[in-house]
Amino acid sequence: MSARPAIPFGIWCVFLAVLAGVLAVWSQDPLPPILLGGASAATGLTALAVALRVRMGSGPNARANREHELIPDLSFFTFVVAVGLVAMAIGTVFGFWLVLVGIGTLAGGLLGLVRELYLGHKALEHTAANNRSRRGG
Amino acid sequence: MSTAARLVLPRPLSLLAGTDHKSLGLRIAVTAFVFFLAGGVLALLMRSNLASPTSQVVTPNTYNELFTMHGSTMIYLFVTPLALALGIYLVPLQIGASDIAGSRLALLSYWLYLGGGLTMYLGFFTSSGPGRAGWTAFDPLSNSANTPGSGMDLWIVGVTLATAGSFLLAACILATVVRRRAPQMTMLRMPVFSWTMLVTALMTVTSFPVLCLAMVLLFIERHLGGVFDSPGGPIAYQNLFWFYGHPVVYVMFFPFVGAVAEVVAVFSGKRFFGYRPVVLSLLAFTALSMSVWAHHMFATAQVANQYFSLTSTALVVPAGVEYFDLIATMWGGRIRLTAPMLFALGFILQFLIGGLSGIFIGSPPLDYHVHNSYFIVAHFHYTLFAGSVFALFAGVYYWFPKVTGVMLREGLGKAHFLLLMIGTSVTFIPMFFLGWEGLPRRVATYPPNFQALNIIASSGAIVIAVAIAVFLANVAASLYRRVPAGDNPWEGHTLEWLTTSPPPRHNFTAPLPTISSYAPLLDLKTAEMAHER
Repeated sequence: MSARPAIPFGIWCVFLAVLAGVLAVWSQDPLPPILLGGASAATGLTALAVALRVRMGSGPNARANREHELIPDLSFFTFVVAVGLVAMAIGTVFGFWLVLVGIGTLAGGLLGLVRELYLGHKALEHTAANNRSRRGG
Repeated sequence: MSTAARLVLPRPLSLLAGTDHKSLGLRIAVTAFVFFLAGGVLALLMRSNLASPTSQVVTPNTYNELFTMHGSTMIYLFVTPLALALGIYLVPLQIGASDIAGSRLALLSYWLYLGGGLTMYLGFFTSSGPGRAGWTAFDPLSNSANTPGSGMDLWIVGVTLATAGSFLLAACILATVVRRRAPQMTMLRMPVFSWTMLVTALMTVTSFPVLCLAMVLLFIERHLGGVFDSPGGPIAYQNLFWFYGHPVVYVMFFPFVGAVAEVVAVFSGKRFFGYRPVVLSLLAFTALSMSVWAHHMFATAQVANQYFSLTSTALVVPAGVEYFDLIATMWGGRIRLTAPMLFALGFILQFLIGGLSGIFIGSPPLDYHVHNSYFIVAHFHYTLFAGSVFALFAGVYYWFPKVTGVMLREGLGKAHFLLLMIGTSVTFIPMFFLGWEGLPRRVATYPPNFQALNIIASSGAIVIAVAIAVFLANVAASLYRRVPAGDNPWEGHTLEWLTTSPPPRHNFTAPLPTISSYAPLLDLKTAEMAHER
C-alpha cells in the first residue's frame, strides 16, 4: 500500500527544517531555532509513523471504518476521566485535597474505560462468531 | 430523504457521554458560541468605558480584567475550538468515513476544553479577580509580585486545560484523515475544506504543546520562582508564547478559508479553480506561519528582525495564490448571491484589508511606530473578526441545513450580513487611525483628542451586537418554523451532501459513488447529464 498519506507530513518536515536552518544562521538566541527544529523533528517522526502504519496495512480500508463497532454510543467513563483531570488541575490552585479527589476520580474513570473496552471487544467477538456459524450453517 | 420532521432534543446522558462525532462537533460549536456571547458582553463593557476619555464605567483594574478575559475568551474558548469543531463534524463526512478516529479522545477533549473555560471564568469569583495580564500573560507582568492572587492562577490552569483539549481534537482530525478515508478517497481527492483542516491540525499539534509548557513554567515561576527571573527570562517566555501565539491565528483562519472555498465553488456553479496549487500553498503557508512568530517581538530588539520580517512578508505569496484561486473560481461562474455567498465575499474583501495591514507591520521600522497601539488592535480584529468570523458565518449558513435538516431564513441572513458589515467597518476602521495617531492599546482612559473616533468605534460595537441578535433570531425562527432542507439544497459538490440531513449515526447508509476527484457529487451530476445527452 502506498505511503502517500505521509507526504504532507514529509513536505512540512522538510520545509520547517530548511526554515530552522536559516534561522539558526540568523538568530543569536538559540531558543528560536530549537523550537522550529523541534517542530520539524516532531513532524518528521509523525511522517515516519504514518508511512509505517500505512505500509503495515492500517491505512484507509473497510476494517478501519468498521472500528466504530468497538466504540459505544455513550462513554460515561470518558467524562469521568475528564472530571478527574480537571479536578487535579484546579486542585493545584485550591489545595491538595482537590488533587487527591481528582486522582481518585481519574482512577475510577480509567478502570471504567478498561471495562468498556473489554466489553466492547467481547461483543465484537460474539458477533463475529455468530456470523461465522451462520455462514457455515 | 430528510429526517428533520421536528426538533428532537438530545438526552442528558448523550450530552455528557455521546461519542458520535457530529453530536460532539455540535456540542463544541454551541459551547464556543456561548463563550463568544460572553466575550462580546465583555467587549461592550470595554467600549462603553472607552466612549468617553474620562469614563469610569469600570475601574482601571477591572478594565484590565475585561480586555484579558475578552481576548482569552475569543482566542482560547471561541474561535480556536470552533474551528476544530467544524473539522470534527465535517471531515469524516467529506472523506467518506463512518466516524472520527479516537471518538473517546475527542469526547475527553471537549470536557477538558469546557473545564478549562469554566476554570478561567472561576477567577471572577475570587477576591483578586480573574486573569488581568492580557491574553498573552507576559512575564514579569504575570508573575506573583505584579499579578498576585488565585484568579491569575486559575487563568493559567484554564488556558492549559483548554489548549490540551484543542490539541487532542486536532490529533483526532489528523488520525481520521490518515486512517479513515474511503477506499477511493486519495489524499489529492480530499475536498479543499478537509485539506485546510489537515494543515490546521498539523499546526495545532506542533505548536499547542509549547503553550502548555509555557503555562506550566509560568505557574512554577509564580509559586517557586527561578524560571523566568534571569535577564533573558521574559524574552524566553515571549518566544515560547508566540511560537504558539502566531500559529494559533492561522488555526483560527484556515478552516474558515476552507469553508469559503467550498461556498465559492458551489455558489459559482463551478469546480474549485487551481486545486493542486491551493493544496501546495496551504502546506507552504502553514509551514511559513510556524516561522514568523517573533514579528510580535520586533520592538524588543532581542530577535532576528531581518529573518522574521522576511518570512512574514513571504506569507503574501501563498496567500496570493489562494486569493487568486478564489477569484478565478468565481470568474465566469453562475453566481448565486445567497447568504453564505455574501458572507464569503465579505470575508474576501475584509480579510484583504486585515492581511495587507499585516504586511505593513511585518516591516520592523513601520512596526516600531504602531507596536502596542490601536493599529495592531484594528489589524487583528480585521483579520480575525471581519475575516474569520465572516467566513465562519459563511460556513454556518452553508452547512446549517445539513446539520439540522432545516433552512435558515434567507432574508434574515442577508440582514445579518449587512448589519455585520456596517458594524465591523464602523468599529474597526477608526482604530487604524487611532493607532496611527498614537493611542496605545489596553488603556482605560485617553486624551480628549481621541474621543471622536472612539465614539464612532463604540457605536459600531452596538451595531455588531444587533447583527448577532438578528442571527440568533434567525436560528430560533428557523428551528421553530421549520422549512425542510432536503439532502442537498445547495447542489453541493462534496460527499456530505450525499447523505441525509441531518446525517445518520454512522454517516452513510447507502454505498458511496465512484470518487475520482475532490468534487464527487459534481462529477456524478456531470456524468448523468452527459448520459442523458
